Amino acid sequence: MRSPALSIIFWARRNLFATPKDIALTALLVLLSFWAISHVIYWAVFVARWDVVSDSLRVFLVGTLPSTEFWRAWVALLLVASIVGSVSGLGFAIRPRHMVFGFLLLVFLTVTFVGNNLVALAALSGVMASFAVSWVLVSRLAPSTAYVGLFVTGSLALIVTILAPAGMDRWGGLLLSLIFTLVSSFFILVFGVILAFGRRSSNLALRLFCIMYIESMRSLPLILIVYWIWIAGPLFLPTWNVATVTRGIAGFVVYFSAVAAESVRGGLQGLPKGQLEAARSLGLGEFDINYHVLLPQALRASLPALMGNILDVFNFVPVVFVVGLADFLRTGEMVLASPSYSNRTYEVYAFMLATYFVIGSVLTIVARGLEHHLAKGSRRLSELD
Amino acid sequence: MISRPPALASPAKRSWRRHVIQLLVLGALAAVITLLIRALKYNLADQGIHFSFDYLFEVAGIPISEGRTLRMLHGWPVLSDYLPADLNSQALLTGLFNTISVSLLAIIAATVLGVSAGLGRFSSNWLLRKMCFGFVEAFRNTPLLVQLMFWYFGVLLQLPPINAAAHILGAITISVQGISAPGLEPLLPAGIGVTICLVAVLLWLLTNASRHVTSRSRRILLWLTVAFVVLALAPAVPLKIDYPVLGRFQELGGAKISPEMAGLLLAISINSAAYIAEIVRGAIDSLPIGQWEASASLGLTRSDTLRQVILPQAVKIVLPSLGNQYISLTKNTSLGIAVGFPELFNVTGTIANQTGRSLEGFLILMVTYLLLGTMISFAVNSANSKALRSG
Repeated sequence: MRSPALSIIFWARRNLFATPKDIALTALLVLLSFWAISHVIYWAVFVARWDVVSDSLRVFLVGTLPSTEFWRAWVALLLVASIVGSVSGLGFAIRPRHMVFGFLLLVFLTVTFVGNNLVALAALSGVMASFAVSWVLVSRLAPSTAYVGLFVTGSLALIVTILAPAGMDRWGGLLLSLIFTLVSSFFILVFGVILAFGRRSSNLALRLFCIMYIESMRSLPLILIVYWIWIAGPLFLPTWNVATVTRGIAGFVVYFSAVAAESVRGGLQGLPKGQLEAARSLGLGEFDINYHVLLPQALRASLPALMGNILDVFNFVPVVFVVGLADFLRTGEMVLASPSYSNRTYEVYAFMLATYFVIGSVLTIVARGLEHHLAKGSRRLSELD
Repeated sequence: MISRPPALASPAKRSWRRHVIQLLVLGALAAVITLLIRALKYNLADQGIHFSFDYLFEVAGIPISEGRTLRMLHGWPVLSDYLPADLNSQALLTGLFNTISVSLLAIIAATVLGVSAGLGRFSSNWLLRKMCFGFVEAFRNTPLLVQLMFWYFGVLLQLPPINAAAHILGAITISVQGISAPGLEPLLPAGIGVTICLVAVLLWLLTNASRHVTSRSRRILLWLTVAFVVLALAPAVPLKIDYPVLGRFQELGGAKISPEMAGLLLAISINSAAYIAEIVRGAIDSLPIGQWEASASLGLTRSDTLRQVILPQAVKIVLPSLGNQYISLTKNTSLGIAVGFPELFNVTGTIANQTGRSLEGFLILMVTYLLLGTMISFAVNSANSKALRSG
C-alpha cells in the first residue's frame, strides 16, 4: 500500500506531467485559468456592486406582481416544491447528504437574500420543507405512479387557480419561468406520448398525420410557432379572450410535443419485440398492450431524454419576450432599463446566468443520475479517472 | 385494471372494422381542418383581409441594416446591397441571405470548436479534460437567449467607440460598430458567375447523392463543375483588395461584421459547439471500451488510438446527430430578432407588421425553414452514406 502523498504524486505524474507536451499544456492552462479566475474573483469582490440584485430581488422573482398578492406566489412555490419533490421521490431515495445540502442551501439563501425578513424566512423554510416531505413520503411509501401523476395534475391545477386571480398577464420573473416550464412540460408529456403511439398506429391515416405533424414541427423555429400562435389565436377564436401566458404555453406545447414524441419513440423502439408478442399471445387488446405493457417500459427507457426535453423547455422560456411576457431574462432587462442601474450590466447578467446555471445543472444531474441508474453495467471511458 | 381479452372476430370482420376506423379518423381530421379553415376565412373576411401573395411585389419601404438581395443587372441576376425602394420579396431575400450566411459561418465555427472540445474530453491531460467538461456544462445549462444578450450587451456594445478602436495587425479594426477587415471585391459584377456556380454546385450535389452514378462519371462531373466555376469567376479574377477607410462616423468599405451579427455568431457558434462536443463525447463513449484496451495492448499511444482506431468509427455514429444539430443551429438564428439582426424571421415580422400579412408571412417562413432543414439533412445524409460505404 502506497502512502497517500505518494499516490497523489503518481496520479499527478500520470494525469498532468506524463510527457513534455503535457507539462507545457498544464503550465499554460494553469496560467490561463489563474489569470481568468483571479480577474473574475477580483471583479466579484471588489468592483461589482451587488446591491442591484438585493434591491430588485422582487422584480427578478415575481415581476410586477403587487405585494398584496405575494402570498399567492409563496403558495404556488410551495406546491411547485412538492411537485418536484414527489417526482424526485419516484427515482431516488433521499439520503443524508441531500438533507445537508438542502440545509446549506437554506442558510445560503437566507444569508444572501432574505436577511432579517422573518416572514420570507418562514415561507422559504416552508417551501424547502414541503420539498423534503414530499420526497420522503413518495420514496418511502412508494405509491403507484398513477397516484403521483394525479397529485401532480391536482397541484398544477391548484397553482393556476391560486395565481390566476392576481391577473394572468401580471405573472413575471423567475416564478413565471418555473410555472411556464411545469405547466407546459405536463401537457408536452401527455401529447408527446399520444403522438409517439400515433406514429406507430396500425391506422394509416392517424400514422401519416402524426408523422407529418412531428416532422414539420421539428423543422420550425420555436420562436416562430410561439409568435404565430399568439398572432393567430384571435383569428381562429375571436370571441375568446385567451391570456398571453396561455397562448405562450400553447405554442410551447405545440412545438415540444413533437420533440418529446421523438424521445418516447426512441424508448418504444428500444423495447424487445418479445414484449409485444407475449402480450398479444396472452390475448390482450391493443389498448391494454399499449397502456399496461409498452408505455411503462418505454417511459422508463426514455426518461433521461425526456428530462433533457424539460431542460430545453426551461432554457427556451426566455423566447416568450416575443409575445411580451416578462420572464426572468426580461425582468433583468427591465431592471437594467431603469436609469439608476443602467451601468450594472455585468452584475445583472452574472446573477441571471448563475441562477439559470444552478437550475439547469440540477436538472442535468438528475437526468444523468437516471441514465446511470437505468444503464448500469456499461462502462464508459470518460467516467474513469 | 386489465380488461378481459376480447373474443377474436373472424379475419374478414376485423379488416372490415379496421377500414371503418380508418375512414372515421380520416373524416374527423378532415372535419377539424375544414372547421379551422372556415373559421379563419370567416374571421379574415370579417376584418376585411384577403388572403393573397400580391404584397410580395409591392415596394417594401423598410430599412434593413445589412445584407444583400437579388436584383437584375444587364439581364443577369446579381447579389447586391438591399435598398428601401426594393420589393417586399427582395427584402425577404435579404433576410434569407443573412440567415444563410450566419448559419454557414456558425456551422463551420461550431464544428471546429465542438469537435475540439469533444476530443479534449479524452485528452491524457486531466486539466484539459475537466476544462472541456466545464465548457460543455456552462453553455448547455444556460439559455441560449441569455448568452446572446450577454455577448451583445455585455461584450460587443461595451467595445470602444470608433475613434478609440483596437487595431489588430494594422488591418482589422474592432470597435462598438463591429469588426472590419480588408475584403476582396471582384472588379466586374459577378452575376453570371453566381448563377453558374449555383447551378454547377447543385448539379454536383444531385449526382453525388444518387447511388447509381459510377465513380468515373462522378469524377467527370466534378471536373466539369470545377471548369464551370473557373470560367464563371474568370471575368472577376483580377480581384482588388478593398481596405476599410475611416470615414467621419464609421468605417467605409472592406468586409464588415456588425455587432448584431457578431453577437449572434458568437452565441450560436459557442452554444452549438457545446452540444457538438457532447455528441462527439457520446459517440466515442458508445464504442466498446475493448477498442481502447486492444489498441493499448498493441502498444498504440492514446492519441494514435484516438486518431486511427476510434475516430474512423465515431464519424459514422456522429454524422446523423450532427445533422440534427446543424438544423437546430439554423433554426436558432431566428433568435437574432432579440438583438435586431435582420434575419429571415425578423424581416418577415417587420413586413407582416407593415402590410398586415402575417398569415402569408407564416406560410413563407414555414416553407423556407422546411426547405433549409431538408437541404441540411440531405447534405448530411449523403455524407453519411459515403462514410458508411467507405467501410
